[in-house]
Amino acid sequence: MNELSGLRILVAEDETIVSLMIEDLLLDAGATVVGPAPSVRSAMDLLLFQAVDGAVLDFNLGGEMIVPVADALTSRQIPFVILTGYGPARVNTHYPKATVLNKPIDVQNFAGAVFRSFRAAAAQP
Amino acid sequence: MQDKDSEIAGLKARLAEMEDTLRAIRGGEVDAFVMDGKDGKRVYTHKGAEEPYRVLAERMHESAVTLASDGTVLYGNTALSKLLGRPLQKIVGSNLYDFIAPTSRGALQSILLEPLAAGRRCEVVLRCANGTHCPTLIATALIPAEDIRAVTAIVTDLREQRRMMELSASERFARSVVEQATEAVIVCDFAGYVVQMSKAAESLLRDARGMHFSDVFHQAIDWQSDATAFASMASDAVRSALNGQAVRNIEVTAKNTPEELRYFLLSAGPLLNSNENPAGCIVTLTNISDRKAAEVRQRLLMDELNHRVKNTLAAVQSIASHTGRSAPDMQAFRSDFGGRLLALARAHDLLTRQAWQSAMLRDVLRGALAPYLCGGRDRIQIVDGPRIQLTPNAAVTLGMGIHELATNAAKYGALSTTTGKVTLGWKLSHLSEGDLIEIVWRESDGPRVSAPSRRGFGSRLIERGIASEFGGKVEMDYRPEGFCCTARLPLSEKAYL
Repeated sequence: MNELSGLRILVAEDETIVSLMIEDLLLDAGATVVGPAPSVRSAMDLLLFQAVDGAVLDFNLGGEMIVPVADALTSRQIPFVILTGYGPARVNTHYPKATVLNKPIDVQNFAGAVFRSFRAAAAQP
Repeated sequence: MQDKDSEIAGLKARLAEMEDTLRAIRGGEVDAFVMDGKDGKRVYTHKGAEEPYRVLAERMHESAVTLASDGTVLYGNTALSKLLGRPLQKIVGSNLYDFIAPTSRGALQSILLEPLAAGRRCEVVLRCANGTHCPTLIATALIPAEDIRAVTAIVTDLREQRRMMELSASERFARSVVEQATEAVIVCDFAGYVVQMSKAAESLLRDARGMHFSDVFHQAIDWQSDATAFASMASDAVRSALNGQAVRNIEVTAKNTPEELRYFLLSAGPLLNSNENPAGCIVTLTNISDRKAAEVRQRLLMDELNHRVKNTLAAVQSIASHTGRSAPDMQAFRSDFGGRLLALARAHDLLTRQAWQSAMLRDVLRGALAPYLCGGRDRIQIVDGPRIQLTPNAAVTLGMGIHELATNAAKYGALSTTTGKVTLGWKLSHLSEGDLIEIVWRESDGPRVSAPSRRGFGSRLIERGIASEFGGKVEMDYRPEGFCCTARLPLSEKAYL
């Protein structure tokens, strides 16, 4: 299972314990993790200085919405999935097309869902 | 001059004579008196007075009665018979005391004891034949009967007057009920004109008394948009109520300012007259904006709670996953996972105590080490430093990290032997680049230490947590005489004094 092999994936997650799990899941799928960034600012900094092929973003980073990071990724046509504990409704009002994955994470299907989402984004014009 | 004097003397004499006559009449001392009529002077005797009096009395709308001083009815007119609901034959000759309520006996007595004192009045309750009681006003008039001392009285039915009084009192009452209502209440007449408003309605719609309802909601209201929709809904409701159809609790919104939306419950009900036909309607507007705002707050809180629960579940999931990766067997998994779960729960307890705003560093450390601090001769000694507050995520991360250090010490380090000790303390260092919090975990008197072959969940959690939560650095020193972990984190909005 190396669906994400060779991809550099930015992780933005403010809870350290959760970020360790996301990191492990991505590493297991063959990806290289950029971050994890615990705040919007540090995620933006990482985007400035590091090459990124995709991103896994927690919707709420320490009370801040991920919006600036998602917008920056969109403008660079970098695919991303959004993780949230709020349920998809709130995220969809901001990013109707984004793939939303719920917390707690469906561990078995996580890497596959990220992979499919990235592939679908790449297929779009 | 002399003529004038004699004229004055003559007038004075006539005046005295008339006053004597009046006094005699008032005192009942005369049997007859002389009056100027249109056919010249006329003598009225009691007997002579009886006939015209009778004619007059019969035609009177009010009841008239002549009573002997013991209450015997000497004469009564048709109106009295109607009032009492009895034929005159049964009234005349009977005693009026038989036809009055016991409570009125005293009043009647006071009139009859002074039979000739005209102009007295008192209220007497009559008992009518159909069993009803009828309040009346009895006013005595002096028309003396020929032979016996008697009093003639006019009996006025007070029922209508009472009804009017009650009506006006109940109207006043209803008016003040409407005025004092805390809701906006508007009363319209049958044609839809506003006749009454509560104070709350006035402050909402200004004074719209006299206006037609169709204009009230349009003109009197200051709402910038939605006013048309609101007015048409309100007008429809009023129209329906005036047709006898009540409208209950329609939710209407109106914009007070472009930012502030106000919510109302609109009701309109017909006011029925005695024939059960609509004689008007009553409209109420209940401001439910506060309730609505509370509902929105509630929803936000529920969302926030859901978010927090899901994040906590994700943390538990991560703990389970990492424990599963490192535990050699199921028994080790159970005990490690249970310990980590409890450490997480203790960190949450601390945060809940402070409304999930912050937690004190000393409480976080003590909470994480709670299983090892049993009071008395503790193997772990905590040396308190300055008061430092932590944000929720930082508190959870640090608490979990300290828990990991303690479990490692219990498995492989100082706490795995009977002699080993741990000292935990923190201090503030003032450096040129800013203030730094230094947290030191130092083990001593334990087994000889060597660096582990691979990094476990605990050390990753501590290093990652200190770095990402606080922008700090962790140094792990596996020196042979005892493991030492030093975390240096800058004072920031996540860890502050």
